[in-house]
Amino acid sequence: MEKKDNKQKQSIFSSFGRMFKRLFSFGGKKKELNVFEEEEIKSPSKVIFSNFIHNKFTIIGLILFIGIFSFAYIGGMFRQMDPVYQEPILQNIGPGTGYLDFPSELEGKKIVQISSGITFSVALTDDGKVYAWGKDTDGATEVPSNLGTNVVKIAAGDRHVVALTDSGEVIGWGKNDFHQAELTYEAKAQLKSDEKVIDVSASDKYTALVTDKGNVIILGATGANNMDYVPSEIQGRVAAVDANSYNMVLLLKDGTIATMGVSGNEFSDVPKELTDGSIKIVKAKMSYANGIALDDQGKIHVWGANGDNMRDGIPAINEKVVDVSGSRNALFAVGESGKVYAWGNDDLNDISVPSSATNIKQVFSGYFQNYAVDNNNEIHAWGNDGYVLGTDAQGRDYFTRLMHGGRVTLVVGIIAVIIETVLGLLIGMISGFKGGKVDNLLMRFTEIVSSVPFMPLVITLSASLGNDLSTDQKMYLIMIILGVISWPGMARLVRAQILIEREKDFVLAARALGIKEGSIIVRHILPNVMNICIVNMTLSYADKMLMEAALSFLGFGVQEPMPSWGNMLNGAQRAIVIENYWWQWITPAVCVVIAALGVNLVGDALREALDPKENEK
Amino acid sequence: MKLLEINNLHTYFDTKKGLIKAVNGVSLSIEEGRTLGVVGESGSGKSQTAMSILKLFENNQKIYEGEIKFEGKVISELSEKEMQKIRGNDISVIFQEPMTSLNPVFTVNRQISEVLMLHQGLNKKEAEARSIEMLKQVKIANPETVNKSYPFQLSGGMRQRVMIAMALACKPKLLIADEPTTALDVTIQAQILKLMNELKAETGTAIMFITHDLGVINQMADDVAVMYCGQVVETAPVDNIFMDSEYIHPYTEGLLTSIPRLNTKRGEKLDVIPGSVPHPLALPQGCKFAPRCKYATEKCRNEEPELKEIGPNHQIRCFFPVKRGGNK
Amino acid sequence: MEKKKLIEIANLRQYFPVKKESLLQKEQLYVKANDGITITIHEGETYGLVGESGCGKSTLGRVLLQLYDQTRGDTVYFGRTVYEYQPKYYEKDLNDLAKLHEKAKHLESKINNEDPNHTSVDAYDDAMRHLYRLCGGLVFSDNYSEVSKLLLEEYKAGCNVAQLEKKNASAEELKAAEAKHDAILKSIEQMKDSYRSNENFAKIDAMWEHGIELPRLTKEEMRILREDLQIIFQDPYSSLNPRLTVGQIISEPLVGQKKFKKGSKELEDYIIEVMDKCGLEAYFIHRYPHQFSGGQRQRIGIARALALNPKFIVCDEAVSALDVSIQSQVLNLLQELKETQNLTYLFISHDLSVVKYISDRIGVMYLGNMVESARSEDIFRNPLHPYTEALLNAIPTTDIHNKELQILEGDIPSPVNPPKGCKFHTRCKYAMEKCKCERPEWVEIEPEHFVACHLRSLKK
Repeated sequence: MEKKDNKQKQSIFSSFGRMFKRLFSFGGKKKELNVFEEEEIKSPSKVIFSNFIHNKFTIIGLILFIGIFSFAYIGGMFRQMDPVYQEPILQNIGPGTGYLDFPSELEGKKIVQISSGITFSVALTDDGKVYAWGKDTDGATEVPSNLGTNVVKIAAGDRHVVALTDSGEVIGWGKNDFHQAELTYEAKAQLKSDEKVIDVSASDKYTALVTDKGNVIILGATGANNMDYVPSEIQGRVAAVDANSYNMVLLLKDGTIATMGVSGNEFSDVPKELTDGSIKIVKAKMSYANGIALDDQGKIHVWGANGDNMRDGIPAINEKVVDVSGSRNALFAVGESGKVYAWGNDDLNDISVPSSATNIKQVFSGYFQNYAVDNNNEIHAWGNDGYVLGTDAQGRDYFTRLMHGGRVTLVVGIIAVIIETVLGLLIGMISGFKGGKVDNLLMRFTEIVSSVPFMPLVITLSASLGNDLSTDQKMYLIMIILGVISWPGMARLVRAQILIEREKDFVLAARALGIKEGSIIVRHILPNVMNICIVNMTLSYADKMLMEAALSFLGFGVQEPMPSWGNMLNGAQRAIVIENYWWQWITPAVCVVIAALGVNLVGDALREALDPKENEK
Repeated sequence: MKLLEINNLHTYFDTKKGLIKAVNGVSLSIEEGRTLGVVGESGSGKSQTAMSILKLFENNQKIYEGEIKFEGKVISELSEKEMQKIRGNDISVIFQEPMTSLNPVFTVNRQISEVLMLHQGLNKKEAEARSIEMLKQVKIANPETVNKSYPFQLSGGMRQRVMIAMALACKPKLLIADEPTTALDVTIQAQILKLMNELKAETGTAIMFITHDLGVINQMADDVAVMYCGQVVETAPVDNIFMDSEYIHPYTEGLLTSIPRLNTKRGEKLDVIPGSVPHPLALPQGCKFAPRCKYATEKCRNEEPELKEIGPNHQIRCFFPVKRGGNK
Repeated sequence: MEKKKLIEIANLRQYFPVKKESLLQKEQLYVKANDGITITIHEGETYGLVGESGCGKSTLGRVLLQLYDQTRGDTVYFGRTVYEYQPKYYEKDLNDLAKLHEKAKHLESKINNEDPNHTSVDAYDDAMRHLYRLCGGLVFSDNYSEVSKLLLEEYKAGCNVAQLEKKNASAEELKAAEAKHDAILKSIEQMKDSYRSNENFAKIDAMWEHGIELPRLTKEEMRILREDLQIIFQDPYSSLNPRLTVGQIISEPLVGQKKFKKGSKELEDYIIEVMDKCGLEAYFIHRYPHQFSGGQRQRIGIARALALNPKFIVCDEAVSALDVSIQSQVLNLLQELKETQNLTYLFISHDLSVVKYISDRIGVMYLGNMVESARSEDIFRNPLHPYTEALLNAIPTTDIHNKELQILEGDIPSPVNPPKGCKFHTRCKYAMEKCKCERPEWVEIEPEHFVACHLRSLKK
């Protein structure tokens, strides 16, 4: 079967070959045309086209340009971008994905706990083993080899992990710049001799421990968040803790809720029924600014801020809830039926629970990674899987911004070139056809415009006009400035070409034949002018793109948070970016180079193809 | 003695569409102190033959076969560097358009002196003196002024004189003149032709004179080579071509009878060579001239004739040479 | 047999302004491409024009077709009468006869009072010739308003006749109109009677010929008249638009002049017919110029000019760029077409032998002036101007017994600043003192043999 296919392919191939041969063979058989005759049938435009398309530079240029164009446009369609979105904790993360790719060894094992850092996760199985996956530059994914199989609890902070053994030993790894991953001497001192750590939770640069005596001990730095201060009315009553960047939620032994950390926000204002003991809470978790508590009746209680409708937008749950969880930007509840309810922010797919997640018994959520374990101990993961090209200083996905930045840069170039061409063509044509005084005047005007120093003018204009403008308006301003400033070259070219064409014998011949002036212009002069125009447009397009990039790079073009390749390159002004965050300047630079190179190659090939000398021989 | 001998020269252009056989088996020779007139239509390969002698080639052009001997030495194999020594010194060339072959930004003096300093090792002063002398030799009335002028300040005829002065500066043994008078007016052409004849008599320089004008050939040449489609179809002393020889090539006959001459009657139909020169990529089989030849037979269309002797110094590439005046 | 005039040129001047070299340069210099040329071309003849480059022969061909705005002088076309064509200027000028006459008088007084220079003399001559063409012998009348009225009447009657003829009106109608016209003509003749005694009357009255003065036409009128007046260019490469097919090239003027509808079957048939006439195969119609050799391209150029059925064609070096073997093909074609289509040629070339072969009469030009004009045999048998003689002797021939070329020394002077007097005196071996200061007159030495040379005028 396959052989037959092969044969068929071959015959198609050979017929193509024959066609090709026929095109380029001389004499040959009676009916076949030789190269000269073959040539005769082609019209000039066809010759130009075939010369254009058979130029290898055209192909390279087109591939480069179409590639970069579809990257920006088609890619941008699939990846929406919110220019004002930011997630500072995710800033400057290097390229890499697979945050959710848990190891296959976990399959079939009974999961006790999964905890996630910003870019990685760790899991604890019932045989006391710890597994780690995802990316981390500080070694949080490297489980220490000396870690035994007696781990009972784990907690992942932003870049560190703390494990708790059955003997109450605290073992940490990963980033430890504030001693957040080790039981320091001072922390140890807080422990009474027979006191044992029984719960642990970690967040940005700190770890919270809970002892069997109901005390809370904080490791690492909490800065001004007030979190190392444990109120005395809580101390000694704590059963469990869930830590987040600015706050912690504490489940007290009596089934009530307490909070720690930054006070005075909506989160710290816990509903009364949760604190006065009227409801018995069995589990308390929190997201960035919201708390979620599960009571013994299987009902959930949510409080805190209402960003992304987290507080008021709880989906209708008509069953008993068995588990609750909170990632940084979303809250989760698991119903008796094994259904996962999720609400909150979906920028990083936090609430896009996979449809395969059924019969869930438990949900574990860290910063941006969420894992649901079903009754068969199968893990379903969703959330942030990582960044192909890392993130920028605002924690935005660089890949997405690169696409949308490309859109801006490409569009700015196109609009600027269109403005340039329209103006240049108009002025050049008036000048060329009218001649005399009008021509003289326009050409002097052109000279004045072209003698204006370009960069300083644009910078001044942009700076003086730009202050009152929105980012979008500023983008349009740049298009217009680029177009309005650069027409003189085009105008001169058009005028010169018209003067050349006007003097051609065939134009005089047309006049001698009594053909109307208008149709001489349209049929005999303009087609040759358009050629030049098109070539110039492509070349100028690359120029405009680079110019936009240069302007934005200097900070006078398209403004943040609107991305453009130029302002994305902005970071390259800082040594720290050049040294540490290579993806933030190499990628936009490469894009600009590819686009400019592609357009230039196509423009050059076009010019070559349109050059009549090239077609003569 | 033979000064230049070309044997079976093939110079081709390698283009995208195939080999263009610009020079397709040319054999000719130039005697010392004589003028060989090379005549042919555009595309006949006459200029390319000349360029092959000096190896002034375009990038895609080279000699595929044959050899060129100058003073008994094979020069077709020489390197670019060795050729540079010959160019302008032993063999020099003047082109059709004197404006484009003179550098517009240098004075006449500088351009002539450059050649002299390069090949003859003269210093600046000697070169300038010699330059003025050369201008005098080409009958320029005010050589000192012209010597200091730029090419654009000179008329066409004057420029061609300067070109000749430059070409003759190093006393070359062979001067290749590629349509030197085509761009000039008749009266100026007559001046230049006369000048060249006088200079030849004075210096004994052999000349290869390329033109499409049979009248000019009659004025200038001692021997004639008629070219068609990259081949020499006839070569003979000039009087043989125009008058004396009994038999001539049909193409030569066509050339001679198709141009109106001053004694052609008005309104009388001109003899024509039908059709046009074949495209260099679609050369006919057999005799290249057969498709346009009124005497062509089946043999002409299938076999290619060789250049063969039909009289003293008279060679024709034709199976059936035409009897002059008769045969019509 | 009296030959019918087709084109008459009188004292034609074409000056091109030279770009000023600096702002300080006050005087505007001109290239005097045509500096006072007077020739007549008859219907059905070929008038050859020879001369060296820069002598203004090509310019003359183009000015004649009004491709440049001519600086001064007359170009009159007799292929159609004013009655047939009814140009706007004619009626208007007939109305304004008195004004025109006054203007001429004013110019005359200017010449007499101030020191006479060429321009004002020329302006006066132009104005007078225009008057003669408008009213012939009646120019001597004192009552211009009456003349104006009468001539207008005559003109309208003439137009009426022409219109009826065009419409193929019935014989009676036509007869009536003609009778009316004749009656007016008669009264005009009567009016002229009183001036017949004037010595210049016969000459002036002969100019009342009703030809069309081309430079006075509006652009649109000229555009439409171009179907009668065509040109074939020297360079078959640059004169064809490389973007149009042969069919498009030939159809363009036909559509432009509204002879055919674009894309119609009749148009295509007609194009193929014209192409066939010019030796082009019908299947070439969709090919592009670059696919043809030089000779075939020139045929396309000829077909394009011929398509409009012109009466007069300027062949501007039409065979000069072609190869020797192709030249004769094209020359034969031109000759053939002339006979079958009843064409008149102005054949411009620098090649004397070609010009001699094709022309009935030949004019020799030097530096913007006509130096000699005669029947083609005469000019070769008996060249009267030293320049013609030199030109003839400078042509290299294929005659092996005649290898000595006569040399005309010196270069052609610049047309911006031509020598005073006879322009040829700087190179002329017979030059006399008189030649250096005085311009020679254009005189008829033998019948139809004109020359501008002091030497010949003396001999006469």
